[in-house]
Amino acid sequence: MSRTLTPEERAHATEAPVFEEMILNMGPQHPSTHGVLRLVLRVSGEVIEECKFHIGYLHRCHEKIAEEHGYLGYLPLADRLDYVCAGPNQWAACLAMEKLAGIEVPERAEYLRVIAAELNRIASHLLFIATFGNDLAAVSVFLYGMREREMVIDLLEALSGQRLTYNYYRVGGVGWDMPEGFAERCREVLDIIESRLPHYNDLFTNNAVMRARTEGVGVVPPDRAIAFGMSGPTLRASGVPYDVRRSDPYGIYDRFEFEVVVGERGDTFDRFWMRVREIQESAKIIRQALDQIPPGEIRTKLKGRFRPPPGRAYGHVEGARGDVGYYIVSDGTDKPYRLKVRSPCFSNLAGMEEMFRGWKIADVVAILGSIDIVLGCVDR
Amino acid sequence: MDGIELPQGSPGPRRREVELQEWYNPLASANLAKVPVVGRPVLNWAERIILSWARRLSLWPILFGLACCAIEMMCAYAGRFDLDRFGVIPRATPRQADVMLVAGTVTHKMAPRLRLLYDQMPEPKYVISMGSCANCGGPFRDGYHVVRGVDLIIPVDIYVPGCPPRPEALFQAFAMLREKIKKGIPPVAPTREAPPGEEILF
Amino acid sequence: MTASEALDLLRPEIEPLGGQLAEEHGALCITCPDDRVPQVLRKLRDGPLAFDYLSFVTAEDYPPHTEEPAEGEGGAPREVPGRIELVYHLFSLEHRVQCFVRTALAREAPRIATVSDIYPGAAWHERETYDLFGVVFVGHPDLRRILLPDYWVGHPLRKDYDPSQTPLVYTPEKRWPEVADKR
Repeated sequence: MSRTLTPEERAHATEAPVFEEMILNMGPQHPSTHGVLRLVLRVSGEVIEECKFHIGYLHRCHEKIAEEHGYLGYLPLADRLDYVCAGPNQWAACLAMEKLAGIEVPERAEYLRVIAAELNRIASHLLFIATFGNDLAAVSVFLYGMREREMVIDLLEALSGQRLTYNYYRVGGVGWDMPEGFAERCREVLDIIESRLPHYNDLFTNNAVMRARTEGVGVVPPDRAIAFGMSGPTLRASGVPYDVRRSDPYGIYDRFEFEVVVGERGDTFDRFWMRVREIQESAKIIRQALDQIPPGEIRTKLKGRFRPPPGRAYGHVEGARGDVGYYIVSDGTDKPYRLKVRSPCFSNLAGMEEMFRGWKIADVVAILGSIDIVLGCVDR
Repeated sequence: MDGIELPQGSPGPRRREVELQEWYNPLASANLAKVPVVGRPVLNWAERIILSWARRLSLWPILFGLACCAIEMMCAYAGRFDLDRFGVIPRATPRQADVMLVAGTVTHKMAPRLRLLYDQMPEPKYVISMGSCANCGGPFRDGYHVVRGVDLIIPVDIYVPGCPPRPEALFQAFAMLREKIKKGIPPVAPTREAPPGEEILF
Repeated sequence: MTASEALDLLRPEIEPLGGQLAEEHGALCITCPDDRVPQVLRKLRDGPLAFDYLSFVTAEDYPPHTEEPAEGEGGAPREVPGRIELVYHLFSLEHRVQCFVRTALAREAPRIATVSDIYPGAAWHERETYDLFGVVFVGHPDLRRILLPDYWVGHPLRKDYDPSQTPLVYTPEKRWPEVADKR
């Protein structure tokens, strides 16, 4: 039997719909969290009210292992910190150790370091494009990005023998020299990659769906980014031109002409577009380095065991994800007294914890993908 | 174990003597006798061959990359080294997966989650331990937070050495797993035992 | 701007607060007592050099030990009490100067005021320092373990860390399945 609504029901019906709150766990195993990151989201409907990160699922005790294994024993593990862009981590460790011991690096080694680091940066950004596309459900971008990345990885394999964690940098130089034909092949690969970047624009960057999902989403204001210690493309997308290669130059970066790519709005699209532009800048640097590289030694020989005098030193470089630094305290033995890793992804992730409020669950994937974290770097 | 050579490198992978556990292998005719009459699957030799063919040629791993080896796993899925042509499609949820590809270092914080994911997978399930961190703890073995090998948590069928192993090494692992399934060797025994008075069929 | 110029600029501001300035490998190094750290950091952030970027917060553990007297000095070996030294690394984006701020804390119950109200990014760094060293940051909004699980006992990066205190499930002694351990 039908009846009319009571006054309370009528009033209730004209109110805005009430969402139920739910706590959602994007657990450590998730296709889009780029590793073992756990997010606990308090959602109201589809909109996120609060987000908390739980990290530490990949805490591999770098700092304690360095205290036990010594400088040279730890150095191969430095690659595994930010394993996608492994070179700059080792470079930072070598910088700190060389500062402590006062070791000079020969010039050819400096050029080789730059070439390896920039090739690494290109490979890392290509992987970012591939996985970002995969997260936004453009799976063909994943295949295209990995295809280009394989060419760069082949170059790095020719340099160092390994595809992912190269162990290329040594205290006082680099491990191996360029093989014959490397420079020509490198130039060819850079030409191919630069000619294929417009394909990414057609496929992905100018795609209306991708634009709608990323423009204006997850805007990070620059003062907040600086206050949290963010670095790398995540910080530069917000308009802050902080690049360690320019602000605190190391090696021979002051001899190269390149642009520090800075974004305007600090949204997800800017963070993505930065990295595409940085591939082009890195290619510029590699070409200049290949033109200028002199013959010579690739490594300063260490006299005896590596025992730097007591002291403290901090060496930091611009990795693909930001400012990766090593703070080493030495007590005169061959094992560091304290080795602290300053990881860029840790600070980047810290700053993003409140950035998800107000966005929807699908945006979480886009924003998290755009800050490009690697959990080995976050958890050390 | 004719024809199958388990990797002999160090550290980590050891030869495992896998015995045909008659009560577990559902395809063995001796087990079918233990099945109660109602609903007993009557499998003849052709059906057994078809089951083994279907299982080994469509191994679906769970997307479970932990650390650096995950990047090589992704390269193995990508265009140059293509795992899809072997029928290997990654699944995001453990409920739809056959094989767990543990790629990377397992820490004590992650270990219970890994165990939970393994328990959620339906049987028969296989485990491939990829990389030296998953085999034995790897270069991080001395860490206080690192589990020294994923076989302390779940039973492992195939160990792939390397740091990280090349995608071709992963192909060899899948090829060896397929050989293992073809020969009717069951997965390494699960942790749970059959409750008394009952049998585990599949 | 070089570190020595920065040193001269900051000397009149930091020294009244009890800080000592020095230069180390091209970076400025300020040592100050532990109760003055928030004031010093606030001065650095709002001062002429605008150190607005906090890179990291970490600690170093110096357990108590006996020190032999130096050559040429008489006397008995003296006991040096233990301390935990906190290190804050700041960077000025505009002037491109690095600065380390160091302070010493008692080793038994290290406590210091938090700086997460000055630099919000310090929140996670302080959680990590608490997790690995046991330094308690008074006033921190959410001080709990960040890298290690909650059931962990002890602070691993201390020199006297005992790994056997934490009950662990997956160890080679309690392996699955029962296979003789040949490691």
